[in-house]
Amino acid sequence: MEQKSISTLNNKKKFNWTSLTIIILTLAVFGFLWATSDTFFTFANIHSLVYDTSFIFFGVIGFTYLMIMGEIDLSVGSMFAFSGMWLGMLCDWGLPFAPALIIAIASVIGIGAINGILVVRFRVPSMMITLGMMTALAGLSNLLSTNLYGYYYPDAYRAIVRPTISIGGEEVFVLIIIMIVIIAVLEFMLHKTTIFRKMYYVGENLDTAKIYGIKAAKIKFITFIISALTAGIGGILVGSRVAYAAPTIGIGYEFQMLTAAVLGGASLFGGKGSILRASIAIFFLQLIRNGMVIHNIDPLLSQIIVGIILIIAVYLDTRVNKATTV
Amino acid sequence: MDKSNDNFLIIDNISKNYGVVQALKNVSFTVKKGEVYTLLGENGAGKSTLVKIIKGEETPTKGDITLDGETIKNYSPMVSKAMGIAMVHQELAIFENMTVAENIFPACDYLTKTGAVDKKRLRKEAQDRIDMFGMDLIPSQKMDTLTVAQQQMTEILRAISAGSKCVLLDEPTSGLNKDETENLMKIIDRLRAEGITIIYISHRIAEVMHISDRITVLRDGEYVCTFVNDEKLKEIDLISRMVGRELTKSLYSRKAYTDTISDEVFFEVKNMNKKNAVYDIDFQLRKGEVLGFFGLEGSGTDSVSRMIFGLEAMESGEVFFKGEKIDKVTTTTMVDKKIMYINNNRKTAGLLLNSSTLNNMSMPVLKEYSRGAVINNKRLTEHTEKYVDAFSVVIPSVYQKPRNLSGGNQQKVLLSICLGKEPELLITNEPTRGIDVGAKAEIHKFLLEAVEKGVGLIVFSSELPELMSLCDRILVMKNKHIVGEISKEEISEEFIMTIAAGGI
Repeated sequence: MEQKSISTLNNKKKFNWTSLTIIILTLAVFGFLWATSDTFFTFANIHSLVYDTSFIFFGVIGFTYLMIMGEIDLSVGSMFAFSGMWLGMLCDWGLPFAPALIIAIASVIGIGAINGILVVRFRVPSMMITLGMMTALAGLSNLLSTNLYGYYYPDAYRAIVRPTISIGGEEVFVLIIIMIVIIAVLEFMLHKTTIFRKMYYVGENLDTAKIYGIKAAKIKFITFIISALTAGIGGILVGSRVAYAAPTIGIGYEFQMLTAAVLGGASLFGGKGSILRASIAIFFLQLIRNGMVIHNIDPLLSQIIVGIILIIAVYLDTRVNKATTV
Repeated sequence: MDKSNDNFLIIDNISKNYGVVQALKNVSFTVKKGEVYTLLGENGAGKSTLVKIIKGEETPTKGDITLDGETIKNYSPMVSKAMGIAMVHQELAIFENMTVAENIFPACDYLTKTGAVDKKRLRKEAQDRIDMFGMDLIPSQKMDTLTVAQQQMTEILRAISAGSKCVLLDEPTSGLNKDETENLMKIIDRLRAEGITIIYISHRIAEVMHISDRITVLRDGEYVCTFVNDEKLKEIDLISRMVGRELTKSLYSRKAYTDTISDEVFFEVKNMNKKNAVYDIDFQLRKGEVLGFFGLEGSGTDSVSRMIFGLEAMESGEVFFKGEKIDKVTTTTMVDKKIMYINNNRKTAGLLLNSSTLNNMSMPVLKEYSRGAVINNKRLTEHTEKYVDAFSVVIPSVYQKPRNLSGGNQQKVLLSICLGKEPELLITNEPTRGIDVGAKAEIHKFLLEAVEKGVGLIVFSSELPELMSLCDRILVMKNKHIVGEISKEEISEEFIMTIAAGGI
């Protein structure tokens, strides 16, 4: 085996067209709205669309990682509400902003660690554990929002999401730039770095990964922390934007993220997924909502449509998996 | 017997294409009523496809099947069932938390007037059927308390209903030990005595020669020949027809490596225990030696293999590698020390069936082929190509998924993953399970080549010929203890079996 082998393999990677589905869908809806409306393709509208996307985007990162590992975290929506309000509460108690922020983030990490330990150590299905966590956090948030009634967050907190930067004569929120950079870095890391490659292995077959020495439990535990952390950061940013403890923050986010992750190629069975495509899918859902507003369709209907999209996406995922499991 | 009724099943010029792949090419033969007819062939020979067509699960591309004088027009499982064809699949399909009776009658055929299941009647009918074939089963027993063999008997009872004329058995013994296999043979005899035609698929030659009336060999989707199973038929005739080349000597041959074994202890396990799993496990592997473990089902060999690699926790015991104690036996520490494990079921653990061969090969060697945390995909591809070539794995590209490979090729990928780590010790649990004779011989060759290069090898296997051809020494387990040790000179199938199955 010393000599250089003469390989007869034809190692041209076949292009996977299904990975383009969400991009094509998004472009189609985008084109449709552009063609049918004057107000859609304006800087102001697109800018605010992307800006809206950038909050939930943070949550999608951890959520997609967990789905790649074959797990799910339903507590992300409640986490969005909790983290911002908890930071507000700490400020209300008189703590300076910096230590308050550190405590808030530490709390969020702690909650992720609880999810992770319960799932990994006690082998409880993550859906049930995080459903419990979702309810508990929602209760906590309700408690906080009652206590914070009428309180406006301090300037230091409100200032986080405000900065803009001038690009080509237009003011663009810095948050958007950060989002784009993060997507690029994470997508690169997902394909090129060992830790993320291991995530896919564990997601596809935990027992196989273990046999080859991959610390599956540790990776899973860390991913639950990442999921809570990214959702927590998203929630803190939403809090900064809204500036008070609005009880409606984060409601239904877990299902939006689930829809986005699956539309972006993740599977309920693990082993698949992409941050880039999940982010595009979040934008896609935002586009649909925007289009309904533009065309004067009752925005309440958008929830129904997102629900239908989730069902279709999951149905297709199950079918694709069935086709390859025989 | 009336000549026209004598032929139960006529396979006439059957071909089956899947896209461009031709699974069966103009196969013709005739099965007589009440005989045990075996289809023999390597994996991919077309046996399973043919049986599926007979069962009506697949429609042939060309050709006709005549069943009991009637040519089949509509291929469907319902039609074949109505015509008295029953099938027992290779993989068990049972309801584990239900009783034997409920598993025999999954459709709950017996109802009371109010529409509830008539349990009394269900049990009685089940008992009648059990008695008919003299099986060792109790209708009210839960399935998960049974042995694999008993579960299989239940499945056979489910398959054959009162009107069954023919039973198709697709590799029924793959999960059975020797005793259980013998039991199954008795059941087949009984079915034959009842006048039921049996079509039997297997690649275990010994049992095929034991049970069959006639044996048809298939190779690469083509009919090769049919043997009448009498005293003149030799094992070697069958093997050479299966693999398509004349074999002059026994398939299993091994050079003596005994002289290269040193006194140096390479790997050692001291006093390993786990309640209800294994007791007092002590053994040493010397440098250059191949050590085998043999035991019947439930003897504890599987647990030993898993515990010494850290896949199962031990309650007490010590593991030494190259004279040093391994403090924490986990798969991670073992792989770091270049000890690799070949699992007995590559599908549940061992391969990523839906990922590329490249990804599969990468698993244990990511660290070696990355700088910092960034993976070097080009070098990983070269690594994969090198091992795929060395072990003659037949794949079109490194992006091929193992799911679409034959069993033998999958097993070679599994071997490549482990040897790709350049291991110092290889623990193999059933290294050639469920693959054909040719691939088996190849894998044995690769394993012994690794041994020649200085890799330590421990083989856990339920196949005696495999152990006898690979090992210098065999430890025999029974009732969760090591009960015997046999050196190369003393190795004989009968001797090992006497220790493992009782006696002495």
